[in-house]
Amino acid sequence: MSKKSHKSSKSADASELSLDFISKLAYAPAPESTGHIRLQKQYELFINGEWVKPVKGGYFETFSPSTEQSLARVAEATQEDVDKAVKAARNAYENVWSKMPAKERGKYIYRIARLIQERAREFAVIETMDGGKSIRESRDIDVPLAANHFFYYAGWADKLEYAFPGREVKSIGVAGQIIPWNFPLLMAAWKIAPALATGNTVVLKPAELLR
Amino acid sequence: MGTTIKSYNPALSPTIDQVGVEERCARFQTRSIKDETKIAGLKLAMSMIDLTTLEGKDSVGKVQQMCYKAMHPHDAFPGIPQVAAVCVYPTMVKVARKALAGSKIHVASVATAFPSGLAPLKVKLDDTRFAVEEGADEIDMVISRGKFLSGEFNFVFDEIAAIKEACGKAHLKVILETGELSTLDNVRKASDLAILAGADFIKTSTGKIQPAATMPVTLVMLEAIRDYYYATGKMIGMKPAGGIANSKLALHYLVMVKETLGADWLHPDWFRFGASKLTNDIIMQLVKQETGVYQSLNYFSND
Repeated sequence: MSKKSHKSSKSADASELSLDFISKLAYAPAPESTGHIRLQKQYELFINGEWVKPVKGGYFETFSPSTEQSLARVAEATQEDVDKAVKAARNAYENVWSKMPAKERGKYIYRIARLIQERAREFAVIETMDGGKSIRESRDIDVPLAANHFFYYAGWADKLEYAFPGREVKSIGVAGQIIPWNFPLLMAAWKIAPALATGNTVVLKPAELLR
Repeated sequence: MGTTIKSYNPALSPTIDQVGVEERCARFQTRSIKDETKIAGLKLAMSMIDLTTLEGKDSVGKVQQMCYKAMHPHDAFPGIPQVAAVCVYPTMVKVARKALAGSKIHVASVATAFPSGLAPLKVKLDDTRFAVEEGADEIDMVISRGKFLSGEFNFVFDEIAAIKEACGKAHLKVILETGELSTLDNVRKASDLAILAGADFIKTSTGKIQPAATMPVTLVMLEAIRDYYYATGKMIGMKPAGGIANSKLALHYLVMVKETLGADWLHPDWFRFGASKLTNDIIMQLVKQETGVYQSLNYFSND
């Protein structure tokens, strides 16, 4: 309601008025347990289906903003690593992934979706530890939507010809993808799922602040 | 009462996002209230109850028994606060006033041809004056829902203003009967109208119509009170009535009050529960918190 509507002749100065939402009826903390989270001390680059050390051997820490404690060390990729990743992705694209029947590709994407669902709670807690967003958001939005995106695009994998009748449906190649920091897992899902479902391969750079 | 506002303009009431209100209400139910806060919350809820009997079969004995319960909630377990008020029909006011002598418990009376409100203004005013003369210090009036729904806002406004004048020093609670107003938009309009017309409290329901008080309806009314406070600095009280039968739900309401209006309203002067069953449930919960075990209903008085 606009403040004018109820102004009476004896109206007080509204700018001085405030409500006390703090005192009385204090809530007990309801923390999400982090006890079941098992993080490795160090994470490598994932190239060609394997965890590999960076060529120049660089690493950096990733921190929990709530405690400012280091969660893990993460490999820092350089140009050499990116070249390696692109070559591997090109190889996978030309020899395996783009040749695979769309129906078979879909099965892999469905599997990714189910794996995310199976470990949803764990991912949500890690996302919150890493990014500092509220558990409500990571638990109710980031992780379930990420799984939903993989389910959605898995379903599309073998149906594109019906969606665009008369047009030739074909994959494009290797996609380079850069993910922002505010929805690290969800935005990755937005970009990886459609690329993979349509027969492309991916080289992905997560946000270095959150990964 | 010195107010310069002579009418109500419905265009100044905001529209209500029903989905958003329901979502917000769902969130109020997820707060973590434990241990001392829970006990304090239950005692607070107890002290906010308007212990009510509004049956055609009400007798002197029934009202006396209820007043005893109001003053002695559970003598086997000291420390449980008395309720804020008892609420009865006008003809029972004198009985209640006598039975409550010496206590600080208020006597509230419904008036204005409760629960339908379908009587001439003169009858309503007489009804109100009678209750006040008999000793009621709070009057629960009903608005003319038929007039409100047909858009005769000024009729309803004038009626409330006239009753307010007839109340004299007694506090006026205006019952919107939200179960008959169909939409949350109407609830907001009726809230704004009643507040502007001079209500000291706004109240959801008579308890005779289903649905009675619900959390969404109460939230809309609390927001009307909040907006009026921000605009004028004047506090208006709130009373959800009917349908609040257990302690857990009462605590959810208190959370809603805390997060909408803040700590100042967490007081029997500004927030009341119109309820009868709630009393025993709160007593049971308080006994359980203290002793660790639930007792059989047989150990609590029926009224």
